[in-house]
Amino acid sequence: MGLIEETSAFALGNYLKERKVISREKRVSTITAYQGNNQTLQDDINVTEVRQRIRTFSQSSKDEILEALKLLSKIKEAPVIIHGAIGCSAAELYFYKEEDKNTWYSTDLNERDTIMGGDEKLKKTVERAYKKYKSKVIFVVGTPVVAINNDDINSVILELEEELDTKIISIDTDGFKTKASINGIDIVLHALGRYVIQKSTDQEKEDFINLISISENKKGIEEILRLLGELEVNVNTIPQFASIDEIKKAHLAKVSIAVNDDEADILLRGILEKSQVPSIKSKVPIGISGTSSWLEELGKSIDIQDKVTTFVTKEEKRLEKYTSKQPLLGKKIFIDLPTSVAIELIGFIEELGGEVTGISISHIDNLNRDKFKVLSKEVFVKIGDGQPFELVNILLKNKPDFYIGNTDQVGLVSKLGISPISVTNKTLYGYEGAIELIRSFQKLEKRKGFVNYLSENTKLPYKETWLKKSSNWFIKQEVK
Amino acid sequence: MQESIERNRHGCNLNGALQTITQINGVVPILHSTPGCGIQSYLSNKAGGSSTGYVNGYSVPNTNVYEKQIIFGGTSRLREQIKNTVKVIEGDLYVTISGCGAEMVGDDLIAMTQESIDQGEKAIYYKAPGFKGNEHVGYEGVVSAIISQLSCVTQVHTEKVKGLINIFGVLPKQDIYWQGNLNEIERILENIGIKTNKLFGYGQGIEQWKDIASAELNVVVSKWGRSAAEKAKEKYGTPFIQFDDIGLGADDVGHFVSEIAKKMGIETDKVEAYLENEKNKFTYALEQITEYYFEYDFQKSVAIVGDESTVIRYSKFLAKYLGLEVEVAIITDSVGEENRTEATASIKEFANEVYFSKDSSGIDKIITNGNVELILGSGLENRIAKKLDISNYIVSYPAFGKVVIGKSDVGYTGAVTLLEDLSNLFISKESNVPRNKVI
Repeated sequence: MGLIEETSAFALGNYLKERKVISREKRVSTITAYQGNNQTLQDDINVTEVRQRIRTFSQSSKDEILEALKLLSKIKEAPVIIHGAIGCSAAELYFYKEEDKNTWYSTDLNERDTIMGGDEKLKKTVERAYKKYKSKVIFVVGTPVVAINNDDINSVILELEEELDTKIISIDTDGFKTKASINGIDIVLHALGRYVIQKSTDQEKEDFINLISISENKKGIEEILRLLGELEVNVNTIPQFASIDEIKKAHLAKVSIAVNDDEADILLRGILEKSQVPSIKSKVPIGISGTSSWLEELGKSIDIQDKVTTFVTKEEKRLEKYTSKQPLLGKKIFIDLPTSVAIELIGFIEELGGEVTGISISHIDNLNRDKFKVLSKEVFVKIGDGQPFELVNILLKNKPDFYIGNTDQVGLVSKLGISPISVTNKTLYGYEGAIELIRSFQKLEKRKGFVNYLSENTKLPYKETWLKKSSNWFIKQEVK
Repeated sequence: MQESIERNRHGCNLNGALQTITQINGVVPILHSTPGCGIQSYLSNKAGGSSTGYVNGYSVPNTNVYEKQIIFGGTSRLREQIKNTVKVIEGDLYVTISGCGAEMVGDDLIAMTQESIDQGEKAIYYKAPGFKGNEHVGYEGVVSAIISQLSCVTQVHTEKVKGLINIFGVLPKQDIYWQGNLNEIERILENIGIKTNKLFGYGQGIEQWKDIASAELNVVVSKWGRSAAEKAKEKYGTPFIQFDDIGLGADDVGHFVSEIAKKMGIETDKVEAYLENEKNKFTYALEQITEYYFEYDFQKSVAIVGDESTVIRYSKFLAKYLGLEVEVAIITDSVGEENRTEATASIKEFANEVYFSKDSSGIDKIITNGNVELILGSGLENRIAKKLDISNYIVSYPAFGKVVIGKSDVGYTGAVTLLEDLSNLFISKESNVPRNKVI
């Protein structure tokens, strides 16, 4: 905890100068395939060169392009051009369905373009987007077709920047050089750091903090803002829900703090590197102690400890009636969420008397591996985005009472007769998020009709022989 | 040069193939592509409609090829994936589907599929690089691929069954009412003694696809069904009949049914009696909105946005039975110029202006200039509806915020549903219920 320092993970002060951010695997030894208990995992990762494993059977998972698109869709007033075949923008329908102002373009590359190159089309699309929106920034997202063909996006951009009064930012995703989809977030944050964040000196600071939000939903951020409002802290929330001007303002802040510093790492470092704004490293504000500790870290760095202590004490008192009864006593819980969120949630489940018997997370790396040390050695850990075939195998053996995850797997979980909580549309963060979760557990206990009916009347497409096998059967050591 | 598209409503060939075959029970897709392709499809489908499928979303097997396989080739990774998919997931048919990356580096999808067939597995292949066509092409392609390859891996039923027809051209998910529409066709034709092979949705698996060869007639209900019918004709000699669309309300459905009956040699009296009864039922329903019709001024001017078959169907119905004025009709799935002339000809009588566009900002402009009071479009038209302060009744993909399971928008049942929905919309709007609500 505390401030991000030079010594951690990799040296500061030079990575923004690089045109591309190094992939997560190479930068922080990210692992995306593993199954076993926490003890074995610890032995595995605390070595100089971590063992990479692969899946010899795999199901669909997210790629870096999806993570990049999702984040870009939440940045205001900046058109996004997906330079590739039309399917690479299909998910935009989901990401943009509630947005009124943002927009995206697909260059809709066809067979001819894959042979002759799509540069001209990209050029026309950027011009078209600029002519219509006159935005300060236009993002161009790379895709497999463009990467395999080695289309030169950067020369197109250089040429256009001479003509048009806008910053054209290349998001250097290709969809196949990393297995960690979170890399897409890194690439976007690196681009923001390099092209949007301003240089500054210490004297110019203003009275606000940067709140870095990457993937939290609106409700979650509203709760965090409520907490900061109570403490009379002025906040600049970036890059989600922010305009380019708001992101540009980041260098004037007193400090930066992320909701989830695993995801926000690159931007925290970028702002520090370019504008000397200190970045606070902290727990994720989930559950009661997680939230309090997040606020306390912030309090320390902007010198409002007393105010924080008073507020935290008041809020914790307010929540006592929910936690004192230990509503999860004797319950077994399985968590399937992004790494840092999952880890923090474990603490909260334990506060409520529950026992976390297994977790499924997308990845583990040097940025978050220390957080695992606090976990019980017996907790079962599955690493890898998606892979429901593994999940069903694990859940049948793990037999939890509840499952907490995003919506993606709730169908499968329900069919197994396990009550799921989907946090996709829940507050999750802060004290209100904690209360909402407790209420969700209470609801699940009583309202089992839907899950019971589904589990008794439906079946899953997996073979019995597979379900009897060890769940890590298809995870093998990579042959180099 | 083909233009870029702002806010595209359709995905690629692979997305189309995937959303099509996941609606056949027992079919297991095996994607051979970079990670993300399966989830792009899943998320776009999740934006509205309904979420079903035997093996769907995150469950779809995918080789998730990465750098090493892009450089050195991913054929052996595919071999490993097929072998293991068969061990993990129960399936009546495995369909290997290649995406952009695999096609560009030249992985041998056909050889790997054949290898598993040689080992006794039921597998077929479909090449679906995203740069070769959109979701509609994916439907067309994968349906034809199953028809041509299924007989190579299993015994199909070639003996003709009297009164059996196959329906081609209802696109799962792309037609947001596809489940209800197939059921409505089945219901109508059942009444004149015809058995419909729906091929997709509840209770439809490989057995039904084996039955394709035993049908007496193939019925094509949108231009996207034609290639499947041609394939079946070439392979099994089955004749086909093609319609622009199924029809909505008495006259068009009547035409649809009579034409099929004629081809199948069904007694005219029986058909006429049935159609008469349905028409009376429809009129009885229509009569019931008469007072609301005039009290709440139903004679609006509208814009319709959607696939060709949808636009044709709604234009005819709204103009003929409800006296609405179709100011602009915008077709979003056109390919090539000749096709445009045909489509324009078939609705010119019912719509003042016919446009072809896939670009949402272009569509917004057409709607704005059309000066309409109501939009019948997709979820992507929500924002222009809000800007113009008019309602958007969702009839096409993507159906943001709308769950559709049993409802249909074809035939007689579809007509009554539409009468109810539009009446509710007009009445609530006049009664100052909050506007722009998605209905």
